[in-house]
Amino acid sequence: MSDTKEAKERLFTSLYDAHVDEIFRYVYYRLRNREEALDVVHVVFAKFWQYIETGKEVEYPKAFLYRSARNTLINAVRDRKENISLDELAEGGFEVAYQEEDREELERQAEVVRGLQDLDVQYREILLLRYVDGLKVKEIASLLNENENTVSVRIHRGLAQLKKIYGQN
Amino acid sequence: MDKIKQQFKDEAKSVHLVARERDSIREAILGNELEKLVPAQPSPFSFLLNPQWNRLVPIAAIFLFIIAGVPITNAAQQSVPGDFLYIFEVAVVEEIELHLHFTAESKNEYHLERLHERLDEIHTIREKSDVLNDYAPVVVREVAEHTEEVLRFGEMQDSKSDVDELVELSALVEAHETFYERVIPDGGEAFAGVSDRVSQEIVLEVDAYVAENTSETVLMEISADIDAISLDQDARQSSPLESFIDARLTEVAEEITTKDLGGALLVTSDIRIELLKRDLLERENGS
Repeated sequence: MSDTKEAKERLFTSLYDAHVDEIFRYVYYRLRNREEALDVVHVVFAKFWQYIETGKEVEYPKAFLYRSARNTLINAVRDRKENISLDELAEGGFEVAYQEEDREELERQAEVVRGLQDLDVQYREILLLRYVDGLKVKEIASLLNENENTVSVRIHRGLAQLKKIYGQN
Repeated sequence: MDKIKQQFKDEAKSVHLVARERDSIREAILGNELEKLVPAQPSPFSFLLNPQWNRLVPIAAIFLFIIAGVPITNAAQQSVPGDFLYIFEVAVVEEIELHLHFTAESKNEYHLERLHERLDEIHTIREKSDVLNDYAPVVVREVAEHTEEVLRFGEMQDSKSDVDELVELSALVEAHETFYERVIPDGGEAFAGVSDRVSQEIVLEVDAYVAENTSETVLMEISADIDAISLDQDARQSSPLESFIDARLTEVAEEITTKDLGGALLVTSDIRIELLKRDLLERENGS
């Protein structure tokens, strides 16, 4: 690990650029609220930067980020129930100065996320894990504490339901 | 079907950050955000936490008694995070107090009391956010040390009460972990090692308990745990914890069906830890 601040910033920036979109997707599809998802991503990468800044070696950055995202997401959902804002948890949030041209893109993405709600919840999570997060059937089974056969069946049924939804649209 | 998969994948992956969001988050982390994390003015006694100086603590204690006597020691005992004498309390006064406990049981109780005291200080931390960064490393070190001492005491014992004590210890550590996770980036991660250590001990103790007892005894223990949890749950109707408890109790039933009594006992222990942790944090919220 390089020890100058510039080198650490370069390392952080390259890993941030490589993974920030997939972490954002992971969170946004589950929270279904863009602002909250941005706050979670902020918390996750702030922790990641602190880790790098202290000079610790990050052997598997992707696994580190997913684990951190999952924990922050769980806390966010719990705290949402208890009416604690993520801004408070993040020690102050941040403002995005959106321009007019961003609005159309944000609305399109919100439509994609809303569209996913047409899928039954039992299929939605499994299809996201399989085709968006790229997990293998065995990994999904382990994560959800289900057997592999159940996961495979749900993937198959989920795809069948997707086919109907796409057919209707 | 491949076409459906591809369409789903393409649509789902078309969700991403717009450039301005991406830049704002990066700037918040590498720019102004870091300035907020610069530690507050350190206590003049911070050097006592350094292991190199730590050996001088007994000498400092004697020096304190000779020079200043009881009033300053008392003032240190009353101090809270951010006070001038706080680090002195943690590094010196509490060390002296520990040496005034002569039996293993009494020392063990003292360590547990200190873990509760660190948690009791949470409301002060909330009010004095400027001391947070100075204080957090002290707490991590303190929690790790007291937890290690309690675990060491537990290793000398030989009874089911070990699991109950470990449940209390785990809840205390997790309460710290949850609180610092909320108030400081990476705050919870710092407790992960201590937390894992206690979890491992619980697994070992539960395994030993199941191996040493008949199925009937273990089932009675599980049943007693479920009764206690159900009583607790009655008081939590409609709270966010209700569905969590229901789901975990279903797991207990599944473990019993598959005759994995150790697994069932671990799940009931997990539920008790979560309930106790919530109570500890709620108590601090209310104080």
